[in-house]
Amino acid sequence: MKIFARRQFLRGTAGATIALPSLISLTGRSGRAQAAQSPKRFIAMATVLGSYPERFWPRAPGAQPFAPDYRPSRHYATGTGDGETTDFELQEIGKPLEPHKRDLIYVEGLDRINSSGHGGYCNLLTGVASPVPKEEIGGATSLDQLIARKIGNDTKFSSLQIGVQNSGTGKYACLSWYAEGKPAPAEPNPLELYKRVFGEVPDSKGDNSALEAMIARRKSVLDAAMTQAKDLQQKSSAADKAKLENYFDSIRQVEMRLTRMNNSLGCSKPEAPALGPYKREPPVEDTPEVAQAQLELLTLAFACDLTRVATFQIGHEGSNMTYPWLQVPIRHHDLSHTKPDAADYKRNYDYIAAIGNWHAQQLAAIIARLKQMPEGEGSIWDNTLVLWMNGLTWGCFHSDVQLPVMLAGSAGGHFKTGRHLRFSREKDTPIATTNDLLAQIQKAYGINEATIGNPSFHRRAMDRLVG
Amino acid sequence: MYAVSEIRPASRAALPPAPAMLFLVLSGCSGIISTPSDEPPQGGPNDPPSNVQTPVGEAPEGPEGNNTPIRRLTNEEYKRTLADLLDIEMPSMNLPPEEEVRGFKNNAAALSFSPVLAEQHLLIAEEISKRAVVNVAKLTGCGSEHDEACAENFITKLGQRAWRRPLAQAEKDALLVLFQEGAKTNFAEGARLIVQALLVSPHFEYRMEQGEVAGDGRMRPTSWEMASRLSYLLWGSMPDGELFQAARDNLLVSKEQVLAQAERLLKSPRAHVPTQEFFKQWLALEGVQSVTKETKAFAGFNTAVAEAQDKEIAAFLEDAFWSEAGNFKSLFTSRDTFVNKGLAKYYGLPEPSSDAFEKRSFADDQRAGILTMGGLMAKLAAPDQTSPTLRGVFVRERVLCFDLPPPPVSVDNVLPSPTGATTTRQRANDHQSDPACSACHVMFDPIGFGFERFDGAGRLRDAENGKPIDDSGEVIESGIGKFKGAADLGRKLAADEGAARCLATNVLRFALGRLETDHDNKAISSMKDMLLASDKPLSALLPTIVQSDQFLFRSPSKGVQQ
Repeated sequence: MKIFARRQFLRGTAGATIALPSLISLTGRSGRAQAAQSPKRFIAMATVLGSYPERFWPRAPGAQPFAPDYRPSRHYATGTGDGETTDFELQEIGKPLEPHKRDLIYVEGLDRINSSGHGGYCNLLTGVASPVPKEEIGGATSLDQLIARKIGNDTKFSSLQIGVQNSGTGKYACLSWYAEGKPAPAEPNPLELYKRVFGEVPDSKGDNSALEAMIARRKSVLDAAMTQAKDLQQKSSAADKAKLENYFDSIRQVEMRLTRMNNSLGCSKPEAPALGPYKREPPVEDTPEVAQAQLELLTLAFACDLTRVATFQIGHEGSNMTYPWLQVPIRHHDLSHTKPDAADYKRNYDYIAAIGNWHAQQLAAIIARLKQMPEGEGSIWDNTLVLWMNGLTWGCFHSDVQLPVMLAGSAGGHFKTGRHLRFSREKDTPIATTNDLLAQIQKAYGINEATIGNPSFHRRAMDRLVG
Repeated sequence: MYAVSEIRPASRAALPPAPAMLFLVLSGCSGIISTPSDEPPQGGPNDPPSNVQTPVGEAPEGPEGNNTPIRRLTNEEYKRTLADLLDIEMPSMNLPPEEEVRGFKNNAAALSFSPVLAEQHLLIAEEISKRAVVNVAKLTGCGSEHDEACAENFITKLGQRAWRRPLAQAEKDALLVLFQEGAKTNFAEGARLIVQALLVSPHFEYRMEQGEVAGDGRMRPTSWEMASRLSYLLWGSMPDGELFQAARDNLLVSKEQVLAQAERLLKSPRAHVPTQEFFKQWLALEGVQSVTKETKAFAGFNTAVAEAQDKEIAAFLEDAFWSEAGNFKSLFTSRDTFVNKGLAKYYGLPEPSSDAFEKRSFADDQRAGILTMGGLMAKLAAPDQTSPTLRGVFVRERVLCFDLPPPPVSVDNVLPSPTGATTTRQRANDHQSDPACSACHVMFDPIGFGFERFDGAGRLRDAENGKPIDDSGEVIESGIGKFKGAADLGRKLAADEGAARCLATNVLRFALGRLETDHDNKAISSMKDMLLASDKPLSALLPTIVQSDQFLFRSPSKGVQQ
């Protein structure tokens, strides 16, 4: 019987505390996960408005800061040719990941193709171009959803979309896509996320009859709705058929969750985050506590095997988000527009680095929690991969080249971690793209496709990532 | 990157032949030299989707292109419909926002279902059904006779209101089976299953239309379907008892019958709800109440001002749309506004005695109706300065229906901070001196310069840093041309074909839940003429839409195959 103790309190940067469950039992888990090989998991984390490359990329010990080349199409980071090292020092933005340094792969030198400024964020995980016309939503099935289809069929939620100051809708905010034209909304409110993920996990084991009755009632209702949709499809035009198909698929997904709900019945229900209540989205001042609660819920959902795939979005490209708890007095978006020759450059990029550092703290917290969650001989972390991307490289140029990209975790030993990999930016070699990376990641989850999204956006093989 | 040909009116019908010069100027925008041509570019990204290929200039009229897919209720329609359907206190709802198309949240093609939405709707239906059966006698009208006949009667009655049409016998039978399943526990549980099933049904979630053949062979909505068309257009919710009665009596067939019901609905205050939604979406007003400013740049501006400015705009539009004196002209020229105490003080207007909003008139001659509303001026500005770019883009895109490409990738696109030594106009001109920038900015910055008498927080100013303000402007590539100040621009817009057509086009988009096609030219033109020629109130747009072929008919070719 495995019971692991949880920290009693999570301490917010602002000094607030959130009471979260003191104990969680993993014993009741169906045993399916443990019996078979431990399942793989995937998290895509996305931040916005660019980074500060000089303080994002690691350096060789003792190396001077690289001479930045700010030309929007170039701005090299640490070198120009293919390169690889296991001997590197984390810089300011990466610092919070120091305890997990051997779990990281920095992937330097990747470009986006046709990402169209702030609008590119939405398609970070799809590998297609963002549409320019305003009537088109665009998009394509995103990497997390492709993975969810492959490995998410045994859990109550095939995937979870979690936001911090982002609800995942709109052309500067979406990230996860079921399919073209169908972005998946993200939940920005931990109280709602809690309700959704754990609301129906029973408080204690034993009598499940009320829950079973509810499941039976929902099944009846959903079955009736699906029958009606099928009947309607028979006599509908092509356009309406597609609409009804979309409705039917969504209802069926919910219905399938009911079946899978039993899997999680043995998982003890954590307490609700002591936050809010919020009318809509949590206010920006609460962000540190909200982020902690969200990542706590994400990792607990992994622990209870309620899902194995998640997106975790902090901010969005169109937002006016501020970081008051970091004593940053300027809106992130306004900061990001500071040009390298501006008078306030140094001050503003100190702020940008501080914000990037805070984002890395969230990633570090996710890793630390998953390392505490036992599975098999090790922890859930051993079977997890986190992909951390940013919507832009330099906000001031809206640039989409040499994107700040990091992998954390090995997805069950698939990726060889503890490395800083560089892909060439020299003239004679093709420049690797984020499509190349996404395609390589899907292979780790058993998706044997050479490309993702737009096949013409691929440039190089990425086998160097694999151990 | 984008090609030059992408900068042009969103509606092809509104496109005057582009002067060759413009193409040359704009070619710097993308580095692509476009060949000047009298033909509007074909198949460009801004063409509204049209399934029907029609030679330019020979656009057919009528509703044949009316291919709106079935319309999912928007989040607001969903909430209002539930509140109208059941007399209980509604639970709080956490619904994922809709995807917007050209600002509108009710575009049928874009409105989709997701597992998250389906799950929320299921839980909402579950909670509502639970609350509804607390007083099961009131809900079902069954008193103590808890028999199946009574349940069937309940299914018939609530089903007809929930699905906005009478249920077929097979549908009732299927629901009765559900009832029986629940009734094994007790009668209330059976009734609860009915409520829940009715609400997650596609017949509730979508406004289903099958249509029927009219006398002239065209397809039209049935009277039941017309009842929903009317109620959702004019009230944003399900039909009321009178509309249902008219549907039952099949009295929503002729244009006169439909118009008579429309006029009845328009008399209700409920008709004001969708029009406010229209304006909010057309003019992108959502963020006005949460605008923030740097205090050192705009002393006196605070949250209370931003919230009051949001209400000010709503009150102005309410008046502009519904009052007898409000019309297309006054929308862009009125000096009237509505202020509470705090906002009156902020603007330097006579203060109302109470905290309510009262009508006031600005004494200065700089006002341009909606365009110079404080909240809009503040929203279309930076935290520390104005933004001729944001203001110009707003007029170009929202008021004139031009499409502009997004800011290009990999350029610096923020105005330098104010230093006190220069005016915003100077900084903008310097900043955009690069031909790569000016090629596009010439489309909107000179419009925005016309608003320079309004500071970044919505107040009038005479000077910027002690320097006189130059508010001369120009709307190139339009019927407006050069102008002097916002009020002059407002007067010119109020007489401009392009602006009137743009408003008409947006009304049509909102009313029909889709983008326009060539087939809509006639309807748009007649609304445009009404706006320009008459002093009719703007609210007359609604009866005009209601009498259009688009509203009265369905496309025969796209109809449901029976």
